[in-house]
Amino acid sequence: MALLEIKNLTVLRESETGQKTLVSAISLHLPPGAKLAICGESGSGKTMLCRALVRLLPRGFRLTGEIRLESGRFSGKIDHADQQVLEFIRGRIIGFVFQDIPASLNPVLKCGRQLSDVIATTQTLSRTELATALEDLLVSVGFENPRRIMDAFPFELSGGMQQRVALAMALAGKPEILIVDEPSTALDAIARRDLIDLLNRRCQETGLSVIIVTHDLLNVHKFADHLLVMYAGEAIESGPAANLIEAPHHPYTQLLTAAWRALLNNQPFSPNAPEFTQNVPGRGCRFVTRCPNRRKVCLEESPPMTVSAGGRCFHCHFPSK
Amino acid sequence: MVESLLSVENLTAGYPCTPGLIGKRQNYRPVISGISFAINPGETVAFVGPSGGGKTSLAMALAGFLKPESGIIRFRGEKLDDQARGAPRKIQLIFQDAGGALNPHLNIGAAIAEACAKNLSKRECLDQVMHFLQMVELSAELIERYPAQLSGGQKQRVCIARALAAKPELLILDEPFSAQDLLIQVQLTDLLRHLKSTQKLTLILIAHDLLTVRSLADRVGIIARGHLIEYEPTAVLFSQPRTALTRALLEAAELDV
Repeated sequence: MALLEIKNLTVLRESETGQKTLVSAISLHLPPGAKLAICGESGSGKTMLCRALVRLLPRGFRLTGEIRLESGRFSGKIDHADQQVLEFIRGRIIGFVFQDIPASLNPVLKCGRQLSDVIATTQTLSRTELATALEDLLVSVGFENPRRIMDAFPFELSGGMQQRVALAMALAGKPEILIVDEPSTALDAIARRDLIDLLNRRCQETGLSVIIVTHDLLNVHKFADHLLVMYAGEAIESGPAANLIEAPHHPYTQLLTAAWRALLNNQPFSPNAPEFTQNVPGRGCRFVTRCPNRRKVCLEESPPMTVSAGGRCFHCHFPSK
Repeated sequence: MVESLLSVENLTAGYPCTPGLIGKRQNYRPVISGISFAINPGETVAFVGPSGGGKTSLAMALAGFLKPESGIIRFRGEKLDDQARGAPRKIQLIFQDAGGALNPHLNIGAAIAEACAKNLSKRECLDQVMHFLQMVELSAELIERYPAQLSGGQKQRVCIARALAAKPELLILDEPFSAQDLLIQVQLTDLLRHLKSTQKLTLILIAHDLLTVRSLADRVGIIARGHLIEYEPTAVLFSQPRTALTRALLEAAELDV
C-alpha cells in the first residue's frame, strides 16, 4: 500500500498571456519507508512538484490531478483539501525542508524558541516535557551539545548546522514523509556526508519516507532506492536508483550520468548534444531540441511511457539499450 | 624563477562589529588571519574548506572589496594599496550568486558592453560583445535577452563574459558551480579549462565540490577558521593530505565510488 499516491499531477501558472505548464502529468507512489530522489536541471519543476505535495504553490498557480495520503492519522485526497486539513497535514504527516535554509529560519528568534514553537503546535506538552522533547529532537539530528544550539540565533551557526536545525524543525511534528529540497548545494563535503548519513539513520530507525531533490548523483547513489528524473516538467525516466544510474535509457539521463562519470574519473566531458535552449517545443518530445538521437517522429509525437523490466519507466521513442 | 602573479603575505581582514551597547568603540573581528601564498601566472588555484571558514572573505579582500587589516597583497610585484585597487581591473571577481550580480533591467548585450573599454564606437563595441559571448560559448541571439530569460548556467557564463570584457589577468570565481545542476557544472568546468589555455588566464576558484576542484586546479588551498592550513599541488594534496581536516574532506567526498 502506498503512503502517498500521486496521479496525473499537473501544475499550471496562469497569467494574462496564457497558461504555462510547470509540472505535467506526474504519477508516482511512495510506500512507507521509501527513499525517493528527484533529479533534473534547474527549472525542470522539481521544487514545484514538491511544493504541490504540501499545497504550498505561489499565488496564481493551479494544480490538477490527484494527491492521496494513506497514513494512520489521515487518509484521503489532499489535492483540493481545505485549509484546516492542510494545516493538520503540514508538519505532522509531511515535513518540508526548504531549499533556502537561512530564509526559512527566523533571524530574530533563538533556535530553541523557534523549535519549541513548532513542537508546541503539533503536540500538547507540559513545560518540562517540551524542554526534554526539544533536547531529544536536537540530539536526534546529530547535535552533541543541544543547549548551545537552543541558545543560538541562526546567524551564529554554520550552514551545515542551520541545515540540521531546519531538519529538526521539519521533524518536530513526527511526520511520516519528509521532503528535502536541494540540501547539499551550499555544504562542504563533510557536512553533505553527515546529512545523508543522518537521513539514512532516521529512515532506518523510524521508518520515515524521504523525498530528496538533488543535483548530486553521489547523494542519489548513497541514499535513494528510487530515482525520478525530470525534464521540462515531465518525469522522463524513473526506476530503482542503482539500476537507473548504471544503465539509463533516456538520452537526458545518459548525459547526466556520463557527466558524473567523467568527473569521477577526472576526464574531460564533451557531449555530442546541442546546447540548452529556452524553447521547449509545444508538441513532440520535450527533449527534442537537445537530443543527440532525434528523428522525425520525435518532432511530431510525444513519446508514450514505456515500462521495462525491473520497474523502470521512461518516455522516449529511441531509448538506448 | 618565475615571478608570481599574485603574492599574499600575512593577510588579515575582517569586519567591524560593535559588541554590547550602541556607541561603544568598534571592535574588529578577523575572519581571515595570517594568510600567505603565491600564485604563478597561468595557474589555477582552488580554495576549499568548511562553510564560514573565510573563503569568500579572502576573495573579497583580493578583489579589493574588503580592506585588509594588515598584510600585503602584491600583484605582479607591485603592492596593491587602496588607490591602486579597483582602478586597473586586472583582478575580476565573479560572485557566488550570478543571477543577483546581473542588472535585471539591462539586456545581456548592454551588460557586457558596460565592461568593455569606454572609447569604442558602437560598431566596435558590438563586435567586442559578440567576441566575448562567443568566447564563453553563448549564441549571439542572447544579446537582446534579459537575465530572467536565461538559465542559471547561461547567467553564470554571461558573468564570466562580462568579467573577461574587462581584460583581467586574474579571475576569481566564488562557488561558480554550487547553484548549478550537474551538466552545467561539467560544461562550465570545460569552459574554464578551455579559457585557461586559450586566454592565458590565472584563476582562483572557490568551491565545495572536490571532483571539480580535482579536475581543474593546479594547486589547492584548504581554508579553515580563517587560516590557510594546507597549500599544495593538487596531486600531492589528494594523495598525501597532511591535516586531519583535509583527510576528512577527501574521505567524505568519496572520490572513488
